[in-house]
Amino acid sequence: MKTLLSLIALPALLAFSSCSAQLKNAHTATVRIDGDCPMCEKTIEKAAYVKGEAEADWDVDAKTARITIDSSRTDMDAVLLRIAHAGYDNERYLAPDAAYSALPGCCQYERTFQRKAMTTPGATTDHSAHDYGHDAPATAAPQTAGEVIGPVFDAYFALKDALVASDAQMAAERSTALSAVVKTVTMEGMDASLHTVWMQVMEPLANISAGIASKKDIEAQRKSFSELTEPMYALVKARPGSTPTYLDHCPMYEGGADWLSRDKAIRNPFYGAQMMSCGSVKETIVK
Amino acid sequence: MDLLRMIRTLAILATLLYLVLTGGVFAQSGIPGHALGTSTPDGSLTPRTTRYELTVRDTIVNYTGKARKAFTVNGRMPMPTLTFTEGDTAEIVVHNAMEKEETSLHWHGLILPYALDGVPYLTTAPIKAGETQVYKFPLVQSGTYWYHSHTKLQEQNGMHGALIIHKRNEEPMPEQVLILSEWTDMKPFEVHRRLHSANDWSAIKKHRIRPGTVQSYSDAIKDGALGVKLTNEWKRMNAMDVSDVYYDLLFANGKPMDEAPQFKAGERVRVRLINGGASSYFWITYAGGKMTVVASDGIDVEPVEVDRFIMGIAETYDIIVTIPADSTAYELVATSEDRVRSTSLWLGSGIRQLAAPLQPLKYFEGMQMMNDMMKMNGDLDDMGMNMSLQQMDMNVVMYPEITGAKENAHEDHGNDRYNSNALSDIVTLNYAMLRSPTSTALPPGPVKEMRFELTGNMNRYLWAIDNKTVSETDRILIRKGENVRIILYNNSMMRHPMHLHGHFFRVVNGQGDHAPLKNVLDIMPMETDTIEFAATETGDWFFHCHILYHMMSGMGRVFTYEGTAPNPALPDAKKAARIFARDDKEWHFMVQNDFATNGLDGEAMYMNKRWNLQSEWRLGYMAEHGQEVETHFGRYFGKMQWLFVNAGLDWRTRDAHGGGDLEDNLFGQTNTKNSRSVGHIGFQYTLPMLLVFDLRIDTDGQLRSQLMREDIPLTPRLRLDLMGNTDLEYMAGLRYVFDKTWAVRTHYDSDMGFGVGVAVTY
Repeated sequence: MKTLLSLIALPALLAFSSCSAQLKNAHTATVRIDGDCPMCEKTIEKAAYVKGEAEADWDVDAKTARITIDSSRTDMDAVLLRIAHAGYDNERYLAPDAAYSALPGCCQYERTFQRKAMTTPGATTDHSAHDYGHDAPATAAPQTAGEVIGPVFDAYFALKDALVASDAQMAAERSTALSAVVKTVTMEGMDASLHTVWMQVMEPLANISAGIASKKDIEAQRKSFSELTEPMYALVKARPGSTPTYLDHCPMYEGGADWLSRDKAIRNPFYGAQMMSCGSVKETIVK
Repeated sequence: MDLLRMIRTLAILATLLYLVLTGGVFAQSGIPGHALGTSTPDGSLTPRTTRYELTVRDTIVNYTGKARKAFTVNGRMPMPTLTFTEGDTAEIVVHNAMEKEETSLHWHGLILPYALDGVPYLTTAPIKAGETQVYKFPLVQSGTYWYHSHTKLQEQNGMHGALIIHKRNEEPMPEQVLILSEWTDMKPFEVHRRLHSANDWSAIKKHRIRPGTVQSYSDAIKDGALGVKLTNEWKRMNAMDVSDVYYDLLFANGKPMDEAPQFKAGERVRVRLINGGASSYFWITYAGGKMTVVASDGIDVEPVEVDRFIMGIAETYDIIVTIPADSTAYELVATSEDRVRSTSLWLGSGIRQLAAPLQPLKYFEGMQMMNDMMKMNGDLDDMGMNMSLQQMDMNVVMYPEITGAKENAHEDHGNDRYNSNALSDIVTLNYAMLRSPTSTALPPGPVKEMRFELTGNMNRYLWAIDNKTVSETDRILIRKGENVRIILYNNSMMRHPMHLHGHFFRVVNGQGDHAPLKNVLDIMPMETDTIEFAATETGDWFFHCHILYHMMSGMGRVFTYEGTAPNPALPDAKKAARIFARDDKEWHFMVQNDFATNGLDGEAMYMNKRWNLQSEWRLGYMAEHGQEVETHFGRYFGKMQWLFVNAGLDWRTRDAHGGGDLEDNLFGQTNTKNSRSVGHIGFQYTLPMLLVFDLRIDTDGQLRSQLMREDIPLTPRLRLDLMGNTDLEYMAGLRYVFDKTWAVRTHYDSDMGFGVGVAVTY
């Protein structure tokens, strides 16, 4: 009986394995596809299969599929698209959320291809509903105007905030910090364009911030602070962040002066509370 | 130190200069404007003139392996995106570099002098081959608009493009233009001609992608909906068309798929969407979360968050979407309303996050719904639902994502039966949700109120307002200073995107003084909507359905301001008016012939919207089978055009091998078929089940009545023809449709006997 069964099974198996041989212009690739169980295997292979065009053999342990296609009739992309629409993330496509949640419980694999959301759709809900003109919420990507020069901007904005608050003591401390940060920036890993700009602005930044730190009078600090704008602007232009930096303009201070800010709302560092919202956004710098 | 500073200053100045120059280059060459949107150096407030040079050419394109004619502007299809700033002056120089064809450009949604509106022969002279026209006008508005040809069917294959006007001092943010359109390998002229001959080849093509589209008897039986199909035909409806035309491809910015990889995680992107299609509505869905609608037809609305919305033809919407994670591209999908195809824009770069595709329509649920709504006289009955503003969408019965996969659409949801937002968690935008951030109340003034009933029928593709086309009506006079209110009722079976030129109307939607401003209103079957606008202009303004083939069939009106001075652009006003009216008077020719073993069997029609010159022939090869030609000319009556009154000539001859062969008819009259040449008058009337009843009397006093039904869809491709009359003639035939031209046919005819042949349709 057993022999009989295997006699029947053998040609069937042969027929199955010879399927792939029947694909003309056969092109095979091994592709990572997420999944969890034998049921996934069935779904993935069924989604991939088109008679005479494409077929797949998915391995539950390796979480990879050998996909064979007739390259004159279709391409890998089309196969991976079908697999993703069936609910399975792969190297190329992430399944629609609805397709993933429609999978049976045992098939709801861990979605290793999916990147962590920086902003959950829910988090932007209220924000965008009422306030759509403003920046991304605080949970958004940290502002890094180039990885290595990020701390320079952080220190600059901290100094600016101290001037907005009209706090000379704090401004002096933060200028010291800025001057220190400038000296710690390593030029390794900078690309040529950033490197060139950095070489130009490094010295003025260090000198001007050291100058502010040496002054006790807030008005003197503000005057020096206005000189920081030019090198900082050159720096942000060389490596704009993915969230905007604003070049703000105050028409009154010393016949017109600029500063940089991360907030779109005007908070004037040259006058502080005296004329807090004097000024306008002159330019928005963003990647 | 000072030297160093000077060098730095120069470097910064050079950078700024470069930006300004490249900005200028963009404007000149018409490169899409999103590059400008991300960083607009806010310079002086002095108004500028932004100049574009556009050169229209016809060219050969190949999207599907077939070479086809299309139109390009500056070598692009769609036409280049024109970007301006509010308050500036636009100067657009249009060269027509084509050999023969004339063209035109209409600035859709723009407020400008009517002579620059670009409707040839109505407001503006056509741009003849080889000619150049200059359009110069101040930009008094901002937002997302578009421009397209208003000549014949040119808009369908290429002549549509985005027109973006930035606000002065706009808060800059990442943005992306997305203009949607369709491509058909069939010549638009052919598409239009076939629509007028009730040919369902489009449905068969769609059927290959979405089974069930033809809604044949076999499809009905498979779906357990035979009763539904029978009722449908009893009410004289052919298969329901969600959209009329089959398209080979849908385009995002002129490509089957477009990419915008420049956006990064956490960014919020303003997508400026334009439906530049000729006849397709698009559903918009996004893989990266909700979409916030912030403007419609160029004008800001209070932000409203939705999961999806439908874009009528020619509508524009601005939405803000978030890019949730890095190294991921999120799919923004536009799916045609018939769900046959979709096109995508990928926002961000990296692994591609798919949006859930829209599942196939449940056609027989839709047919059931139409059966419920359709009265026997062809009017629609909203069953007391007071439908308006897209809030009650009868089509939800066909949407699996709203009403489930199968068969549960008949649960009793009471008043919410068609309210998409009450039936599911998916938030679908409708017009009642649009609210203007500012008051849009009209200035005080006398009110002129009009009621328009949108009418039409699919069988003869007649589309009209109050069953009158543009050429069949006078222009509607309005007076500067009055407020015009239009109450629209859609008594046809299709939705219509109604567009008003040169004005924004308020959509009266329950938001009081904050009613949204639009220039296109999508109105669904059975809906009643009210729009109103202040008459502040002068000249002639077109108001029409923006489905290209409906407009060309005459669905529109012209508003003319009283006391408008003669238009210098059209010195011969009478001639211009005559040419303008020609569009919906077009005659279409169709012919089909069966080259059968027993003879030639066919018919030809030459028809326009009301009249038809029709000829049928049966030409046997054998003398005893005889030869017969019937020709008549007549007019259709009624908005459903079920009645066709006609007069004509019959001619026949037969060699019956001796004998007078006098035959009796059912009325007891005697005649001969051996030799007859008579005139006749009569009428045809379409009965329930789409049976055509034909009664006529000829000049010999012979009476004949006949019943006929052709093209019964047994299966998607197998069609049955039946005929019988009181002269005791009868015919039955089966046809298998291969493609738009070829079919095989077998039939039995009482005169000519059995035949098999090849049927050709043009």
